[in-house]
Amino acid sequence: MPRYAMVIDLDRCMGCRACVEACKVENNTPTAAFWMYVFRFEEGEYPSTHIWFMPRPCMHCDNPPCVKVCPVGARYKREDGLVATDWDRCIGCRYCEVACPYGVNYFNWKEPGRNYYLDWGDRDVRRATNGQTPPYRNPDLDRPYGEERRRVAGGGRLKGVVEKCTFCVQRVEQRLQPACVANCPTFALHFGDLEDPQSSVSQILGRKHSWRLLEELGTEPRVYYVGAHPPHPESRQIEELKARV
Amino acid sequence: MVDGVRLPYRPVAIMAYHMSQQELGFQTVRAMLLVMMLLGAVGAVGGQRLDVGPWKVHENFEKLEHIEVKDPPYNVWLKDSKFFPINSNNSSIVAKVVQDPQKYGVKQIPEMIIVHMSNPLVAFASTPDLEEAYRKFKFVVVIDPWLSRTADLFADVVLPASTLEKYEGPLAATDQYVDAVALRVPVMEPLFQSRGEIEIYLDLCEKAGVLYGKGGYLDHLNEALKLKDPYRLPLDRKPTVREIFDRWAKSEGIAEGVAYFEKHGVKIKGAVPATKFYGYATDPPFGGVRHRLYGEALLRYRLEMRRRGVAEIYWRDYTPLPTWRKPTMEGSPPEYDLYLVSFKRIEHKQSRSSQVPLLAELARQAYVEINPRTARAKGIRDGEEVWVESHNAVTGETRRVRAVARYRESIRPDTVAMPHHFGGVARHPWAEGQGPSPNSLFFTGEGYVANTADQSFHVKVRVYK
Repeated sequence: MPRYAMVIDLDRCMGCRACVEACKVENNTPTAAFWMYVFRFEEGEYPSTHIWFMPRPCMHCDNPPCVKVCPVGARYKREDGLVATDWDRCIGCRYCEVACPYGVNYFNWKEPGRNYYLDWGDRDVRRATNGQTPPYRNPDLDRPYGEERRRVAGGGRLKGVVEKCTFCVQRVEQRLQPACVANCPTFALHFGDLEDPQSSVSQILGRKHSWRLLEELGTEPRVYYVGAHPPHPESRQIEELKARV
Repeated sequence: MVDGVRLPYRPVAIMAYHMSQQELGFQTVRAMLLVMMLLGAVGAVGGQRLDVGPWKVHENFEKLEHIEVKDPPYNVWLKDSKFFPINSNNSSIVAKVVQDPQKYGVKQIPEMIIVHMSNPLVAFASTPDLEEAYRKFKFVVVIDPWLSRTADLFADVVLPASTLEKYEGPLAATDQYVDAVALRVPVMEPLFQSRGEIEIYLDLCEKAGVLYGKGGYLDHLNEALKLKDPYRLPLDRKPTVREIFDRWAKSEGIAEGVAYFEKHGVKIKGAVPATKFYGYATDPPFGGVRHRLYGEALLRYRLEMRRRGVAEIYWRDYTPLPTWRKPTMEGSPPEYDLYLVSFKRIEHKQSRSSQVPLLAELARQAYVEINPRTARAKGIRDGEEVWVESHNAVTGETRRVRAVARYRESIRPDTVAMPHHFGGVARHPWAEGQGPSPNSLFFTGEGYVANTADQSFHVKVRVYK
């Protein structure tokens, strides 16, 4: 059984947020849901300032607090390390959102059709498209995955459920890289099997110092960072992403 | 050693971006090149790389050497005029000329315009001047994938263009070490009623009777794509766009034609030889061409412009060696204490994308970056709405916009900055309320040069609540 992990090289990240967009397009997530989020930080005072960037997917913890608090078993840890959400079972209690120290859970507040980037039912849009809706939804997201055969891929399913990064389970099970990794123009993101010494994640972790976010909490994240340093109170977030009101 | 040739190593770097498009810019760029020349770093390893090989006298050298300042009437972009003898169609100058052709000795201004994949009202400075100029056109056609602000306000006809779903090119794809060429190929049929621009132009030219025959659009395509027999386009039949690029590819010696690019995307031509970038790799060095330090032609234009009686503001920068003077904006009163810089965000393509929902969510609103110390001295809090007011040191005109202040330690205390991508770029729900473009604060015309769609820095402003 593979033991999947992600390595993020902050010395290579230029903060372009292409990973954010790749995730949204691949996983069909609604507005204001950033399963992959890229922090932009500024430190220091003029003229000694420094700007740096930190992508933040779900940490897919080995000791996941979100799994422990889920009252219905919708959130669970797979054997390969992915922390998944069965959106058929989720009751929307949002305990996972409270328990997670990384802020990676997103609650669907609206009906999916009302929370996307273009309202295909809009009168002007329907006039321009002759009433057609282009086939934009990835059919891979509708299939069951894993030994459990549970529906865990993609986002924007139902009003009132919680969703988060799946490490692109629908791609990983086809031996593809997660969309954020495949679309990173600077090769800052790496994904692979820690059991395979030849995988890029094993190779990088073998030769570079790494750290994990909020390691002191004992969550045992499967996302490792190399380069830079963990953000600290002097790291000011700039150009933050917010819901459009 | 490069390609087996021993070359001098002269590591000299000067960083500049969009410099030549600013006031005093062309002389500043000359100054940079002169430093490179004096250090022997032009065409040396580590120094200034010029993409001019094979080394010969550049065609622009001849052109600039032989410009003649002519009598009016001048054309609409004032080429060869006593005002701007060296000129390559600056849209901001055209906007000034269209508003007052008599002042510049221009008898005829165009009655119609085709705006091609551009949103000039927002993209270029100054917005008020461009809007005034567009009011003068009797017929405006806009070819664009979106209903841009320019199209929304002025287009009589909008021809919807496709974005990526079309053949387009050829595009140089070199990384400067390996030479390559690419063609954009469609990944799907154009959406809705849109079409590729080449297809649009083929139809327009056919309707206008200028597609076929000698001197027609097809004839120009043969020349522009350098098509060789037997791949030249016949002048009596309308080709498909795919056929045009198929002929081009075969004419370039690619036997599979356009199918090669449909399969591979990029054609690798091979390593760039050392002689292309390194002047010292040829014998004699630089092919025997000498660098010019002293711009005698510039002095000649200066004297001719003075002789023709135009004001000093037009000829003062035509000097044979670069000189520095205070930019015009320094003449603004002291209360205009901040320089305004426009800049690009990585999420957007100039004024072309802020209505794209996915991108608008990432970078959704105009703002003004200000150093916290500067802001606090003015009583401005982070996230507070402020006025940004610019001043024209020549005319005394002021303009102001409302924007949200954002604290940034990384910006100089004497400077504020605004992103370039907003300003109601298109009629689209995601473009509503995004705030202003800095181009509405910039000026153009005498003393103020704005030949850039972004990265401009030529006005002083004050920021207040």
